[in-house]
Amino acid sequence: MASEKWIRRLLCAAAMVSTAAAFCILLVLIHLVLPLFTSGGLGTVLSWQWLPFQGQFGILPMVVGSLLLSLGALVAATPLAVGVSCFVQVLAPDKVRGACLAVVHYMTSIPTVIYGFVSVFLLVPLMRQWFDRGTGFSLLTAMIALTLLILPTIVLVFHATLREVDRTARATCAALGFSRPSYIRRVLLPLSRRGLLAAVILGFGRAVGDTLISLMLAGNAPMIPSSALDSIRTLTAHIALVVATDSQSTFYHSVFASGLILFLIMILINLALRRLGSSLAP
Amino acid sequence: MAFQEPFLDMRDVTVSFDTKTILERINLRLNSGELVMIVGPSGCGKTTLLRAVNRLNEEYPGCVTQGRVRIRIQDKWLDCSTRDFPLIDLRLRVGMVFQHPNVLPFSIRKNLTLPLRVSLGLDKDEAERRVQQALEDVWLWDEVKDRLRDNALTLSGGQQQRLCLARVLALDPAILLLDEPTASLDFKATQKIEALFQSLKERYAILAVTHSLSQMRRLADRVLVLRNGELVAELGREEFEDQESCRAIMEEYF
Ligand SMILES: Nc1ncnc2c1ncn2[C@@H]1O[C@H](COP(=O)(O)OP(=O)(O)OP(=O)(O)O)[C@@H](O)[C@H]1O
Ligand SMILES: [Mg+2]
Repeated sequence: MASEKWIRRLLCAAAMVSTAAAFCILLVLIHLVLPLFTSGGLGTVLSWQWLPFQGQFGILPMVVGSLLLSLGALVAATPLAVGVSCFVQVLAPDKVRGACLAVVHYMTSIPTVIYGFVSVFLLVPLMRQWFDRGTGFSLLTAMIALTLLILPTIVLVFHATLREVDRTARATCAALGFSRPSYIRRVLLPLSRRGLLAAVILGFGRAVGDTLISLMLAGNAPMIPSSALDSIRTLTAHIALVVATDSQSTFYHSVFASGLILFLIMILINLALRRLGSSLAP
Repeated sequence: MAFQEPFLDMRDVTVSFDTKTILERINLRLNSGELVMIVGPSGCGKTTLLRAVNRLNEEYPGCVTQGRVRIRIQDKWLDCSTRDFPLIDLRLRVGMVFQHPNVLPFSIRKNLTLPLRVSLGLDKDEAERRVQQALEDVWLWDEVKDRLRDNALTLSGGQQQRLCLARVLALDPAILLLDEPTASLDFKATQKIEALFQSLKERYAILAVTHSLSQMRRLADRVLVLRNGELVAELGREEFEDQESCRAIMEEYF
């Protein structure tokens, strides 16, 4: 059939284009970072000090900042998302379910910058008051805002799986005398693990890639935080800052390296989570 | 006589989905030690009627049930249609085998042990004991005893159906609801399962749906004919025993 052939070609082309695009980005990054390796500038970039005017371009604090912030937000958002999804799908009455899902959908469509500046005027003063320390622009503040930002993404993706599993297993388990909570714990969640994994990977992608939240809320001090109330700078915020302030071109090496490291972090975490996923498979 | 004591009593049960009435004023009594079969054309509401007994219709959106359903447990009548009746108790008393095999995508063993452990709170040894007993009851033990860890979805349709039956028997209910329990079984297995029902009916009251008139004649003590959501006839053994007259009656109702 001619039309079937064309559909297959079209799908194939779409898959190739997106794979090729990802691959090209990686190539360009490597091309940009390559001078670092040949000129021996690698040591200066992979160090712990960012003092550009004294020739120290270390971006390791930003790597630590990015990881702390995104993993922290992920650890907070995942159980919340599981709770929200299960409540919405199994426990909530029909009307509440509709309302909750509408709110979650709406939350995904709010621009990040709005989360950012609402937090600046609401969360930051609160943090300053509660902890009575620092400026309120801290790892913790950014983590809270980022948790809110990635929560709806995780909920939406996970809930899609949950709904499918629930559709097939609900009546069976009800007929066998399961209470709603034990149904969730013993059947629904174990059967939706793969969906949760996909949701978490996506959430992590958003968390690591997010620039505005950390730029606006984390304080941007390029250092290793000693507590959650300290300020941090993430790789993404670092790139934005350096590019925006139009510093000397030597600075750009650190931007390229940051980009490459971001890329690698994403790949590594993806692989790690996938491995976890296949070890969980029944 | 113990035989005559009713186990289940439905009065004026009406079920509707989204304002569409599926069952209209159903009255039904089920005695202990009795196997009652429901027959009727496809889509007339047989499955819905079974689900009205264990209130499973409520798990589907848009369902409204009216009327009264009572079951007798240890010489006490309990009204299970009240809002606050503990559904878990009801569903442990009233076991249901679905029309389509509905194994959970877990291992064969877990399909059987999970309800025992979670719903009944049995310990491991007791659960294992009941699993073997139930599998032997449905003649599945020899087929699966070496592959209890395999996913239940790897079983054939007929094996899955027997597994579902075993899962219900293991919970030891008082009333059995069987929705075409031999639909995907071969002739030999059907014979065995029918023999099983004959022996089960000593212990349980059984309400079953069937599409096979010959099966109905072999097993039923009483037959209810359902059409368009209404019970239109109730037949005793003598009325459907004879093949020709049975056929004539059914021609009339279908
Ligand atoms: N969850 C539901 N939501 C809406 N309508 C339903 C639902 N379940 C059943 N119905 C409707 O109720 C009617 C009776 O369905 P039911 O499954 O009881 O038929 P049945 O007699 O068991 O048929 P079959 O012999 O084909 O299994 C059908 O018209 C069906 O569309
Ligand atoms: Mg049916």
